[in-house]
Amino acid sequence: MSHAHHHGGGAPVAAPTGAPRIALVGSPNAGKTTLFNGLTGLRAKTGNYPGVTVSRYEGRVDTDSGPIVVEDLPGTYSLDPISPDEEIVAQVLDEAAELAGVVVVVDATNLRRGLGLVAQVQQAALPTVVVLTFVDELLRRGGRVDPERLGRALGVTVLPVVAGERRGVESLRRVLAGPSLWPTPPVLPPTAPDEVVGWAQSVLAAGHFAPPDPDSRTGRLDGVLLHPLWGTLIFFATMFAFFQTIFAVAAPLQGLIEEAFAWLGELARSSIPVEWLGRFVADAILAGVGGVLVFLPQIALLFVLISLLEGSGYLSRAAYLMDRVMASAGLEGRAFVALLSSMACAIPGIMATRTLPSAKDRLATMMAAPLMTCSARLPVYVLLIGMLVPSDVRWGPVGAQGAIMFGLYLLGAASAMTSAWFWKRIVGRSGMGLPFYMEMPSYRLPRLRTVLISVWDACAAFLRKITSIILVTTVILWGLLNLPLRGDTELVAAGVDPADSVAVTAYTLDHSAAAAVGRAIAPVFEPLGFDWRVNVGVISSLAAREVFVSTMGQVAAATDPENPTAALKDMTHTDGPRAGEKVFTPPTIAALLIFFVYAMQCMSTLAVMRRETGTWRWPLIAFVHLGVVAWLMAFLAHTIVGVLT
Amino acid sequence: MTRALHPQAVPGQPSAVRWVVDVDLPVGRVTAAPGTVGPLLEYGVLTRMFVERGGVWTWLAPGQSWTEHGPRIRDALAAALDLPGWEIDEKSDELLGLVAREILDGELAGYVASHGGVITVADAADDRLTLDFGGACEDCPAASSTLHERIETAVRARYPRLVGVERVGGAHHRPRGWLGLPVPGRGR
Amino acid sequence: MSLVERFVSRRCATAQALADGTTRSLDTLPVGVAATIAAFDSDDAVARRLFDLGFMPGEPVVPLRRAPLGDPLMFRVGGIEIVLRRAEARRILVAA
Repeated sequence: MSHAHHHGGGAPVAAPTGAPRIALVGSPNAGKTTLFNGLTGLRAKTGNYPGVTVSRYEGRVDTDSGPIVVEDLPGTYSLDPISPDEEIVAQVLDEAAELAGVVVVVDATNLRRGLGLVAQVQQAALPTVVVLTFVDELLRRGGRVDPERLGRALGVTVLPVVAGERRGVESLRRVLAGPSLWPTPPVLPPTAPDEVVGWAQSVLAAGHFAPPDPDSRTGRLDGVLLHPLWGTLIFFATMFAFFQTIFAVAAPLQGLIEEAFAWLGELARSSIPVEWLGRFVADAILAGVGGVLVFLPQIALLFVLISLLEGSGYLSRAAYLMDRVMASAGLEGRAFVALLSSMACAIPGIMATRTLPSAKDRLATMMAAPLMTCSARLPVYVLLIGMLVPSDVRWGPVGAQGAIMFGLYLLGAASAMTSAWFWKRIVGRSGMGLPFYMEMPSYRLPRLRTVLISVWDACAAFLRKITSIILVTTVILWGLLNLPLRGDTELVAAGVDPADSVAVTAYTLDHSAAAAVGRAIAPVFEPLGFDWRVNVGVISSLAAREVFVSTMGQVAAATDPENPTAALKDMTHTDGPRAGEKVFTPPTIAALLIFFVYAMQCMSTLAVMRRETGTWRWPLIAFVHLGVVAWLMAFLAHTIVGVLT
Repeated sequence: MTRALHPQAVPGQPSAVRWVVDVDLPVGRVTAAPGTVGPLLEYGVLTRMFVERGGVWTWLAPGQSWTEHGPRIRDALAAALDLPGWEIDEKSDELLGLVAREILDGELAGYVASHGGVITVADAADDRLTLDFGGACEDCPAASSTLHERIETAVRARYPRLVGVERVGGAHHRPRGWLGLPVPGRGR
Repeated sequence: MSLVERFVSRRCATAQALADGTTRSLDTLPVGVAATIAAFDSDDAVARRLFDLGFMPGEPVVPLRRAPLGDPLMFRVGGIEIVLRRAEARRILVAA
């Protein structure tokens, strides 16, 4: 898994056309991305390689001889590719005409293997510079290397760069100015493995290289953290603390955000003179944005914790401990990290599948990720469970609400594993199995800058989602629920007193466009016990799950703006065979809960799936099959709970 | 597993490559070689070839490129080093000069530079090496002992027939500070 | 020839290359016992990748620990610690 996080996604950089391009190549964990961030600052841009799903990172670097474009190629151990990411590296190097030079980033603590990659890259016959990272760690662990002699043996410039120190990055920046001046070896290194071993051995001896002693600190920590008993216990304790922190620490911040938006809503209602406009600002814009913004603390915390775990090296250990369990679903340890992230949000989870070398594992994990209980489901669950059982009901020592919540998380995880197993079998029939390997980084102190960049990027992506998809849907929805605005004549003709605002809103809602849609699809959801208003909520939640809560809020506010929750609880079917009965009966709530466990209600997730797989095929398959499964499981839940109650 | 071997460029001589490799052969100019190196030498693809302790020097015919022939020559050399049939002229002042220059530009370059000096090869004849100690080395007592000794040891390790190292230049030009006083700090 | 083609045509030393037969597969090596990598059991993309990961013939390797459920295994090779499943470790032959 990549040690550092790319800062990207910002505004495209105005890279002058015709500026020389230089590619960064290196194995995962060699410190390539840290170097890239150090060189380009916060001016990186992201994109995709044409036709494939691999992200492309490039940034501008100003040198003495003008700007150049540095492209950070995906981490790879070899140019003999076994994954789409790795294929890109060989392809980019093959199109040598477009590159002015290559910088190979090599971890000095593992120089022998790094030279193997250098030998392969040099076959591209491009001007090459080797950057040695972690030289400080090599020396600390009793190894040594002489970069100057190593450079002479390799026939290229070798620059030691220590992460976090400007000096090395600055001297690299000076070197980058003139790729045409870089020395080249007279004869390219061999490619045959046996000859490479001999070549590397000779170069290492000439470079006065002595390998590092095993990292004793890492060894001692692993002795405990990977101990069959203690290691397992610590793992579960860590995971428990992980979620405890996300939910407990975030709660007060979320309370603050909720209060702030409630206050703003009141302000809008009372201070905007046009009544419908006030309602629009308060109910559509502020409620919509506020209802989603409450997740920001959780998402920020999740990324703080994940990047701390990753930066310290523990996340790789977690993947190692979970590998055997993940293998039962046909996946590998690294998929655990993707699924773990999906418990906050499927989007980073799906993005984390990039660390999986196997395309089949990626696909299976992507199909499983939306089933993990993401934080967007949380407000829906809280709302529905609150209506299902009062908070003081206890089942033995545990609260009933908490137990149901836990059960839903468990159901999500079990369904995700089943789904991964299923899709692995579907897509995994042909072709050879990829080898499983995972490098264990030494334990290191997480770098603050890396953590901050990771959190900032995640929050920025989330805020973009709010200001685009969610804002647009809530506004459209408000329009569908409240338009057309009824004139007094029409209201009087229908027997509604224009002065009674509650009656007016109820009438408007009942005759709105949304109501028409909700009624039109009523036959589909009738067996699950949903009425047309719930249908509107379900449809609106296709944009994003949490929209369900704000929609039901708008619906209930129309009935009783003072106490929407009570209004929701007492809501009755207005028409159809169940007219007069309460809508939110235990079987219907159960059906809704289960529906939300399975249904693929998140446009952003579908969009990310499209981006990562390069085709609409997989998001479409996910949407349709999860919709069918959701309906069937919800029907099952409705029936079972109906029998029990 | 093949032999530990890597090529190194020779500064100022694009047609030459020094192969860094452990060799167990007499040191000197190669007149005939076994394996596929033999024909390369015989038909003039390789115009000259020397063996020293720790390396083999090869020159490619004019107009030929190392990029093209390099891999073939590397494989041929790696295989031939284990074969019998090498004929080597064991005395070569040219090789002595090359080795000395390589050591001064490479292995000891940092050490010489740290003494603020520039040392060049003035002559190599009859297995004797004459060096020109330029720059600050002239003044430095270390130049006559430590530096001199280190150069001699390093060259002898790779050209065992070395008889001795002499120096020229030195005493003619003693840089002095203003008013002809010795420059402080130079005596280290 | 593209870079990929050049590397796919590489060949790693296989068991056939070793006549003496004094090797064992890496997954059978007890925890804490060092050995030297000798070859791969067959020559394919997996073997080439293991080679590129640092499992180079001639390198010393030592199994460090087993995961709680018996798989995967952690090894130290060439200055790094790396995790392989049994299935991959079986592909690597070490001199006993």
